[in-house]
Amino acid sequence: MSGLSAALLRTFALACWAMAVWLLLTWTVTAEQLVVGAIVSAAVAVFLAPLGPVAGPWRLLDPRVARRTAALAFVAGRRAVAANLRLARRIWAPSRPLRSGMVIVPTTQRSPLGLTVVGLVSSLIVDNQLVDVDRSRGRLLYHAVDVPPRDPDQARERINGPLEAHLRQERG
Amino acid sequence: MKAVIVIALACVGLGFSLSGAVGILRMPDLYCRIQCSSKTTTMGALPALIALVVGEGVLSSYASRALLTAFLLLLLNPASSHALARAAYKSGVPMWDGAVRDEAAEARHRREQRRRERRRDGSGQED
Repeated sequence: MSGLSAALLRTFALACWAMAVWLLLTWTVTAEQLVVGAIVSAAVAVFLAPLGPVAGPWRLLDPRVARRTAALAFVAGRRAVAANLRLARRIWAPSRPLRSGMVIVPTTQRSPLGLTVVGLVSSLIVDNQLVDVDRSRGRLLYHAVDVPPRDPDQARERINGPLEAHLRQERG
Repeated sequence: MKAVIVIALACVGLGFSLSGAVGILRMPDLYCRIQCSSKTTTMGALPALIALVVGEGVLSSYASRALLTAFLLLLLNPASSHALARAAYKSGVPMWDGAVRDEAAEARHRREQRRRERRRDGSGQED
């Protein structure tokens, strides 16, 4: 794909996202709102497009991507609720032991998008907080409220493994 | 029936938010407090937003704005807590005495030890 067509596609993708936000904010479908929304979305897209690549909303129409996204959301949601309940129990009963610490876990992700998704989604789960990323060696540093075993594979299985199972493997 | 669901969801949200606030006071170090302040409050806000959607209707303007707010919360809360935790760790804020381990510090220590040994071996060969 040539540079110009890639830039146009990126701008169009951004304009689609901006238009979706406009529709959610205004929640009014009149000709005036749609025209103003389209102009504002186009302006925002042109202004922000040079910042970097953008995944277009049409990617969610790909059944594989949609299935992976839904599975990731389901796993993250289930684990986030369970971890929040565990932490709430620990907060209200301070006599329960707290085993916090910093742990290094391997990751299969290498791309900025993959690492961002793993970092954000795993950090939504209250047990773990991403602290640092070593992209070249494929390692993530987490603060864990309940530290996993020292074995890296077991630690990965407890923290980011279940999430990465639903992402494309990028081991480099 | 709708009122019961709204009240139940609001109470769940309130419970998680209250847990987060108490956790900030009770947790022993900054890193655990960051987890309480950011994520438990996310779980507190989400049920409240769902309560708003249930109360006002799925196709109302409230629902669309609640969806947008939920998306921003889910995206920005882990990002901001990561920024806080990373800044704290890089600037040397210690964990509490009862922390089980710090594998990054252990790895740093091992690297420094290897460097010292190499330097010692190098100076030994020169002698």
